[in-house]
Amino acid sequence: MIEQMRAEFGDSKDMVTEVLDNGFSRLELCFFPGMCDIVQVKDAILVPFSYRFDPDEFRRMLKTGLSFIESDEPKKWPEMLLKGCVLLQYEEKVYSFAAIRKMQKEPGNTEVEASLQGPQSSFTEDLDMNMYLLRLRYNVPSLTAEQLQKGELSGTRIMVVYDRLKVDGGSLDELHKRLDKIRPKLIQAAGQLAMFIGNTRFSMFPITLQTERPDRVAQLIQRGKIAILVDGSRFAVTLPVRFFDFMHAMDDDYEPYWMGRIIIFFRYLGMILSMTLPALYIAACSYNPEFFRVQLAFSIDGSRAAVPYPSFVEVFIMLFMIEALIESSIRLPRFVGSTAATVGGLILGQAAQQAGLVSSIMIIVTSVVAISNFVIPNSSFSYSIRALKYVFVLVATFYGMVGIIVAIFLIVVYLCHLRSFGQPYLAINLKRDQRQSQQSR
Amino acid sequence: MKRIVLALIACVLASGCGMKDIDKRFYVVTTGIDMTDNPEKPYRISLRLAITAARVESGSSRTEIQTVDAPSIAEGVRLLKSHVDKELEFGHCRMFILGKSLLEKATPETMSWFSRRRDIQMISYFGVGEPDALAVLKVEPKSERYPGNALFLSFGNEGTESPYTITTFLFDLVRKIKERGIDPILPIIRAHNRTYVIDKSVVANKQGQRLFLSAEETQLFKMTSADSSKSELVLPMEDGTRVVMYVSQIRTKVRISAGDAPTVRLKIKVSGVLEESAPELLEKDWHGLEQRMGQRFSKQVEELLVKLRDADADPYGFGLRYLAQHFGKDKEFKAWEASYPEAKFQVSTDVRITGPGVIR
Amino acid sequence: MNRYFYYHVFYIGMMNVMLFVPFILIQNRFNGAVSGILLSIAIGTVMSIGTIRSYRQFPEMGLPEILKRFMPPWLVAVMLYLSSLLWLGGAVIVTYTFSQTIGMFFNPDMNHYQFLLLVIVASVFAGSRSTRTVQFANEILFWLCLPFLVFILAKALTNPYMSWDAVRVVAGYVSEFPSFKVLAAATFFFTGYLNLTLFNRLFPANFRINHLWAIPLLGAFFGFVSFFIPIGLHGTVGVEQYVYVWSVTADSMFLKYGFIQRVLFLFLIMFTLLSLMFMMNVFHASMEYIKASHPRSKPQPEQVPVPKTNWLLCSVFGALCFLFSLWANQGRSQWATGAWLSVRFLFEIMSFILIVVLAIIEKRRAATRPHSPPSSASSGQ
Repeated sequence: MIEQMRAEFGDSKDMVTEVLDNGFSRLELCFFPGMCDIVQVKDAILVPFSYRFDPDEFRRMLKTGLSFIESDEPKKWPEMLLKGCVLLQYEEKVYSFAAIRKMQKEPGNTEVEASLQGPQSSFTEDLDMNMYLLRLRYNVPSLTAEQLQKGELSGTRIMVVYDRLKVDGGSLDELHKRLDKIRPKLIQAAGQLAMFIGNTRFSMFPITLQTERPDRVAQLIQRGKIAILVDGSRFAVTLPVRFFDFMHAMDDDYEPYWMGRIIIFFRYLGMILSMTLPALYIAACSYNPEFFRVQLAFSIDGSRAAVPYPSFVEVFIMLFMIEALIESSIRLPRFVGSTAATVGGLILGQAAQQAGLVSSIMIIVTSVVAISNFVIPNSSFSYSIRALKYVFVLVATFYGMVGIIVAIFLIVVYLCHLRSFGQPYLAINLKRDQRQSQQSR
Repeated sequence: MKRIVLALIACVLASGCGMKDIDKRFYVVTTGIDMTDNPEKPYRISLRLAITAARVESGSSRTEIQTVDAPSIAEGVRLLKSHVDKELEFGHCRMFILGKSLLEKATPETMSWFSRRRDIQMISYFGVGEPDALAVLKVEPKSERYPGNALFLSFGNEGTESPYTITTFLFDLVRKIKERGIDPILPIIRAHNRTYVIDKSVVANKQGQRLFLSAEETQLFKMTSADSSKSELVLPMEDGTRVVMYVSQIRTKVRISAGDAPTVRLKIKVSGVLEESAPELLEKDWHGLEQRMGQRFSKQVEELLVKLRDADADPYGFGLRYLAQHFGKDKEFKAWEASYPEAKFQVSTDVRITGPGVIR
Repeated sequence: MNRYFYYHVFYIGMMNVMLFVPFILIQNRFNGAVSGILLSIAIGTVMSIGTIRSYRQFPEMGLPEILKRFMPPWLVAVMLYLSSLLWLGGAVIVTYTFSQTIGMFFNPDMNHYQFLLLVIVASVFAGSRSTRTVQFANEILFWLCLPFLVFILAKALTNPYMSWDAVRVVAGYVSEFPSFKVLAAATFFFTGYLNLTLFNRLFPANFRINHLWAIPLLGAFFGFVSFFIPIGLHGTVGVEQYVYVWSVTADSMFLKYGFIQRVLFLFLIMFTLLSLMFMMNVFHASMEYIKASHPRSKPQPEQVPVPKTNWLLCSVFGALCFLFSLWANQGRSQWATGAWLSVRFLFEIMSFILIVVLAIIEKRRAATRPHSPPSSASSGQ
């Protein structure tokens, strides 16, 4: 076996191959120390084999031990080794012993979807830990998990989880179909998998929701949705989702009803502002100054007096600045991050306006756009909104106010047209319809 | 989405540039139109243009006035375009001042320019300038923050709510010029030092005659026709003092009885608090005071109505009310027109003083 | 489910403004417009309720499927082509009027063909979606428009400059007898029920449209509001001089407080959305009719991705709109609108009679064969 494995892995130096001989019998051992838990290997194999060797007991242990699996197929050996198993050959039989090294021992802290009073624990990068977190919160026998492996090179473990009493059959079939179809090389993150199964390359909006919160996944499963957990990613992909799910933060369910509604209302307002405000500025400046009341128009007029180029150039300059600032504060290491914010803030704030490069109203517009974009609870959705803003800016540059309204219409129709795994993306009162049609049938 | 983007790009490429930046436009804030003596170019068009500034302070508003004589208003405006460096924009022109001279000679067709242009708001204010529109345009009020704002505020009831200021919108003016049984009324704006005085008004009847109303008459008209509160009722006493009541609510009901000589009945209900009076006057004779005030008010209103009737002017719209009340058609309107000069008026006022104000 | 039906009633009722219906009525305000509206309430109610009841005999079927049960395919095709042509006529006129109005008030300097292009591209995209998508979009757009409508109405009805005397004077002309043209225009307020011809496919079997009393109320409401408010604000005589009556009427109201001062702009925003909604529905309905005229087509309310035929047909419709606007000017489009309204009225009466007759036949058939359930043509969901 050892020779075979050595040949297979091209004599890789991080693999340990050993032939142990305790005087009575021989044991061939082969494993990656980097991927295995050495303590487990010692306790389960080395100690019984060396210090307390009893041939009968050792044989019994190999036969009945939970983590020892006899494997006759040499083809599967490399795969097992790569998963972190130890291969051992004893008395001409090959066994694998799962001593997979675990990085995570406890749940993580929420980082992307922080919550004030909700649970603070989040998924980790370990699939088994995540399953534990999920089962802890959704503790019924009907919770079903299907395990798959995807990725030709990464061989990532994937868990499809749903409540089989509540799940929507159509969506599940659709998901299986798509999962069968995809042939990715590497799967590194849940988002990547979501891309593959969601055809999101052509879509302006995400049709699956990624979350790091076990409570959110539990809630979605309870509503009949499907969650996909990916090994090595601290995010779960849930589907099918609706437009409204993206604007929902878990805190809304943990706070008093009306407070939650008001906050949700502000969130939608923020979304609309962040999409349309730069476009409205262009429309108000260049096409329809009579749209707004006299006093406001004169304020805009006065503040634009020093700006030497048309409004859309101004908007593009400022939007580029703010996007660059946001990107840099995400990518930069923490220590430098604050520097970027300070420099950016100074330039965006006073200097650009005093130099007459942008109007003071444009600065307000820019900051409102940036801030209200952060109000959106889901980051992939907020990316969509950030991108859509430019569609609006473009239309407003050429058509003014009407362009904006037509664009709103188109986006509504487009959202209604989208389907997330067979389910409508944007539709209201759908539950009632279903109930009604069931009653009347 | 790819298709949408493609389609949008197609739209964008096909579109030229209709854009004109806000700072490339010259905002007209007030337009004045006068009559000249020159028969070739009878109209004198004056525009007050806004010069905006980044910093807004009291009195910082700056404007520029351009004047031209032209054979028609439209031509005049076109001519004025060559006088300025930016595009003239009427979208924010909410104040139009007609010279007194124009008012004497104008025909309804003059008004068609205003209602035909798409960018002139139907809710812009109209007024008559005294002595002429240009003089009113030249006034630069000290307190003005935005160009032209002083007049907007006076008429829009956002700032001052004077009981003497009649507000006439363009759509209102146009409809009253055309409508049967109602005549338009316009406020008169006078230039006084660096402010405007707007307390009189003028009624234009269908025969082309103009009837000027004094400040008191204007107030009476506004109170009774538009139920405008925030005005006052005055009663001079025998000893020379005056009792002044602040009107907080006023309701007027008009009924017109048919007949050869129609009778117009106005029932007015006024309530308010005393603002100025001799001490303890109210306690002595509360009801009597109310009655005397009511009688005096009724008499005043009746005098105004008679004056209007004798000038054959009908800014209240009694004719329209008559038609509405009797579902009248052309025949009835002819009858009304014939009998209006003999119409009788009965005004009864019910004054209710709710209290003597804060002190006794 | 009821609401999906009423959304159509709503936007078609509102669309009268873009189809010069108030203009036609106001031109005839002294010659029978009021009685025309009253009469149209009766006619419209009878036709809508009759049609709705007839469609109950044909669960989950649109007009094409119903016709196919009774007639030879060539006749069905001809009828479907005719009805889609008729609807397209409406869309074409709305596109033109809409781009004119918007161009005039929003961007007077811009070439109006550019606007037309934008509007047509939007309608082609929206119309080519699946039936279910269109239905969802109707709902969202309705809720977007409703606040504007309520606001504008509240503004108009509480306006101190609103002259109720003028309204009463015009209402006094109720005894005049309406002409055919007026009647054709006035019945347009009720045309919304015709959407059943297509959207009945989506209603589940045994589903009944409730609140039928709302139909006369809604129609009367649209009729009176769009006829009387302009009269109240522009007087009995002055009102006739305006072509775009409602735009001018909306401009006669103002917002004392708020970013926007002219109600006109709120009105235009609302009508941009409503017109696009109308065109989306009409393009979609015409497209479905033409697709259904093919003898082997099966109705598919849900189709993802959008098939090429949809794009193709809708682009042809868009091209028609463009051609119309090349020919049209203000006078011609008014004439075309009048003609279209009259033809539509006649067509509506004929289709009403047809569907009632078919429903009776169907009922008889069902009675003779009590055990065979009516075959369902819907693909379901």
